[in-house]
Amino acid sequence: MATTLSFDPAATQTAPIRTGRRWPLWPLALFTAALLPFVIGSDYLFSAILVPLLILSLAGLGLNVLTGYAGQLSLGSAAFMAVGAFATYNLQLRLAGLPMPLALAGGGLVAAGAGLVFGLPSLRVKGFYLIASTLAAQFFIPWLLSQYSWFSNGNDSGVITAPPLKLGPLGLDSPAGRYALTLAIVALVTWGASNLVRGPAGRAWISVRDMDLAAAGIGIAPGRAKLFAFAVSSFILGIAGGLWAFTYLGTVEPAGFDLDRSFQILFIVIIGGLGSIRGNFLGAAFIVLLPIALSIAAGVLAGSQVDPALLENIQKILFGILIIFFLVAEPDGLTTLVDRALRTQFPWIGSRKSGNQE
Amino acid sequence: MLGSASPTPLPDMAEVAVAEGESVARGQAGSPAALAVEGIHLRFGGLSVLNDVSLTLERGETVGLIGPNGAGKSSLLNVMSGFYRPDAGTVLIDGRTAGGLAPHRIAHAGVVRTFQNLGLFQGMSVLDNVLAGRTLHIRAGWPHYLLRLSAARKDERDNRERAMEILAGLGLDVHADRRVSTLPYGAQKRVELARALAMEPATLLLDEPLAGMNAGEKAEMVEAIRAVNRRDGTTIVLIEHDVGIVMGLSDRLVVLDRGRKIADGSPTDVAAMPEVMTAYLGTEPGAGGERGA
Amino acid sequence: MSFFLEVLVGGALAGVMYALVAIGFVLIYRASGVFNFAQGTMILFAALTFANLVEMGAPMSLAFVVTLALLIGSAFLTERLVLRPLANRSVITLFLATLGLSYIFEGVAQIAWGTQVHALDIGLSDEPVNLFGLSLSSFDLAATAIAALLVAGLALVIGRTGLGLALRAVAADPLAALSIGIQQERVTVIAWSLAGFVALVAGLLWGARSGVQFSLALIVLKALPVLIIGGFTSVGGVIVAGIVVGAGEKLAEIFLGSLIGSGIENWFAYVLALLFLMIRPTGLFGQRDLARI
Repeated sequence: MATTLSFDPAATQTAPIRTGRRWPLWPLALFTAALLPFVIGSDYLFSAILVPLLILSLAGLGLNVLTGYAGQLSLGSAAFMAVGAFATYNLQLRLAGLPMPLALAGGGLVAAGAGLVFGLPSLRVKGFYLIASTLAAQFFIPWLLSQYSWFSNGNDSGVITAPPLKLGPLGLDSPAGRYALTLAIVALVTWGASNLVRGPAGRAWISVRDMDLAAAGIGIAPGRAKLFAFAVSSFILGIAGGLWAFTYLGTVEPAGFDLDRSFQILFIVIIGGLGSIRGNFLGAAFIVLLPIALSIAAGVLAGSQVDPALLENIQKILFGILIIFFLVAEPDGLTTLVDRALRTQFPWIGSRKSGNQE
Repeated sequence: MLGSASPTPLPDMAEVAVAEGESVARGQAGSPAALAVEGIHLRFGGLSVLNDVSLTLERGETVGLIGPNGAGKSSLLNVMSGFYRPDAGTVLIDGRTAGGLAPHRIAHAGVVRTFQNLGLFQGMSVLDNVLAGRTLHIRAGWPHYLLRLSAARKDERDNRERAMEILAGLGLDVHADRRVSTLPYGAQKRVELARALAMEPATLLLDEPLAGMNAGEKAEMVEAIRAVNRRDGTTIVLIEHDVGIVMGLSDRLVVLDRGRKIADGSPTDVAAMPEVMTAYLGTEPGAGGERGA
Repeated sequence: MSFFLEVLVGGALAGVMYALVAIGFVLIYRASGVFNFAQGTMILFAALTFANLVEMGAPMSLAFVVTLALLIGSAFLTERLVLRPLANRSVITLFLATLGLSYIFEGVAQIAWGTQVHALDIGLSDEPVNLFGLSLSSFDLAATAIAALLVAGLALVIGRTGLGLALRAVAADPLAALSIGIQQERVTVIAWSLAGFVALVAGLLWGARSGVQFSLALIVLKALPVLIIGGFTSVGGVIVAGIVVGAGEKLAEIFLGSLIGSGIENWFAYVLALLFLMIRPTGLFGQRDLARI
């Protein structure tokens, strides 16, 4: 068969032609994350920045599976985090001796179940209207959790407090310990999700997202692919919720998993990049660090103490502008911006694919 | 498998195990018609799109489906592949009724179609699009992929090799990692063919596969389609406006005009029929006309 | 029994207001194909501006005009800075952009007017009225009358005027509309300004009823279930659905609430919409979209 090309590749190439060996960035990032913070040793760094950053990245990953890869918009991410948090709590509470990681996994499974239930309409309805279903989850689940005190072991306001963190005999209740456990779990779940996304499941999701009729034409059952996305997404969000309760806040209530939290996770995904794995980390870093940067900048510019309410509102406006900016100018998010910058400065770094998947 | 059970056992077939436990049947000479439609009626609101259309595809044939614009050719393809449900009539695949089957089930039954307006996944690379076409030939389950077990790694390697082979056969292997949206239209059409071939279909329904190509590309595509038919015994239905090409490729020509089948026979016979000329040219043969392909 | 009826009617009246909000959506959805999440914050922004202007001593008519001018101005800005750059992008992208818009509106509103709840007096008194043996609020009745008038007026505009026709044309096929001389930008600005006007009236009515506070912005979310239950394409359906949702959630709160707990009205509309999505996705009055492939 002739391999003549009927067009000139150089004329249509949109990315610099790659030569030489390319090294992926993630081993370096993981290595840095695993060692550098312990060298710095700041409790503030661990508790206030790194742990929430990691958990929010994981939550972003969960939403990205559903919205970025499978194309099903969800406004209910926080609700599935809530399911995970409360399920983990109850499993740990009622099954004596259950190791922490298993309780977390169990919480994830329960959240996956909830995701399947609220994902059922995706079998019949496409695209945008589905958000009503995720909104149903977002309003129903916190109500359920605060209405029936069984979920919070008798607490009338639905507040749950996580027990001291330990892994078997190993006490992990220090900021460093929490960080270590969070890092391990987030790395593990990210690895698993990445494997799924790069394989047939990920391709099935993107197919359904891009053109579900064509996906059906190649033998993919769109309904099943969507439900699988809901399940995997909610599982990841459930784990994130469990971590949120157990390694970050320590005490949570249903109101902490409200619509604003869901929007926050959605912003992480938009800013970081829809359909990306590492974008979630970039997006979460943005979300966590921006308020801090803002208050520092305000302190520097305004001198004296700045009204925190004003700062919060400026932050809101800034986020709104950034959302629109990213949607207009760089729909593939920070991850593509970073990729491009790295590629020009350090051509030997980066992923081997130019397609959507990484 | 395909709706109601058939009393006649199917002849010896190669079965490829796929994720759902379904089998993709590859027939041999002497087996029931690869695909048959009988008495198809299709209406959109008040508009009759297909009117009592019947057509039988013998295994291994290449059938050209031609007719003026709006004749219902794409609609017929959509009925055959399960995307449109006819208001009346039956669709039979390998002799078994496929009525009411969802499109993905019909794909499992070995009937694969391409889209007139490109059915590629624009967010993926060329290679990933073709790999997506290997869906029915995935052997490892998602847990294997989740944990990157060796069964999954081997599966992915095998499928990748097969996909690259097919791409190379169409001159697209150098573009494997590019997003399909960056390719010109004609090349994208070839990617869609590659993806269809990756499914190892028993029956291939091609909706204007040569549209948007220059002469050189067309020649290559024709070769590729011919090769698929000769080498793999794939039954092919081809909608194409370039009548010269269709006549060269097809064993048989079927002509639709305004929802009805007006001709069905060998290319030379059909081309000589006055009804066909009238349908295309709008006038009696011999008088000048502007209509048609 | 009369208590039941009172709850029913009271809820239905609230429902007409939901319908009003939902119609604002339909307007924008038809003109720009966008589900404008910012509608809620626009309502809030409108009500806040009005309330503050009145508090500062301005006469109501002036406050109304100023607020309307502000809303129309933001319609212009939105079209220029958000919608035009995002033309041809997916529905989800546009929705997310309006989400960003709502954050901007909210931040600006809070910086400009602060966060306290404002009482709003628009000259409608709230007294018990005895109608058919039921005790109803005079405010509710007046508000319903105003809302109903507005809804009827909008339905007329969409259904019977040239502008409405232009709106429907743009929604159905922007390119085709362009080709017959309909200027999309102008239609967009008009539609968004109309939506702004609706937002203003809705904001004033809601605000006068329960005080101008930030939960006002969340009312918009309830419009989505109303649209789903009524069917996105039918204005009449939206009205009926608004009443169903309004009455339904009040009834559920009062009568189911004793069984399974209070706060049902927070989720009732959405769960109802979820059931509709499963059982009757086109809603009570909507129509299936036919996709040609």
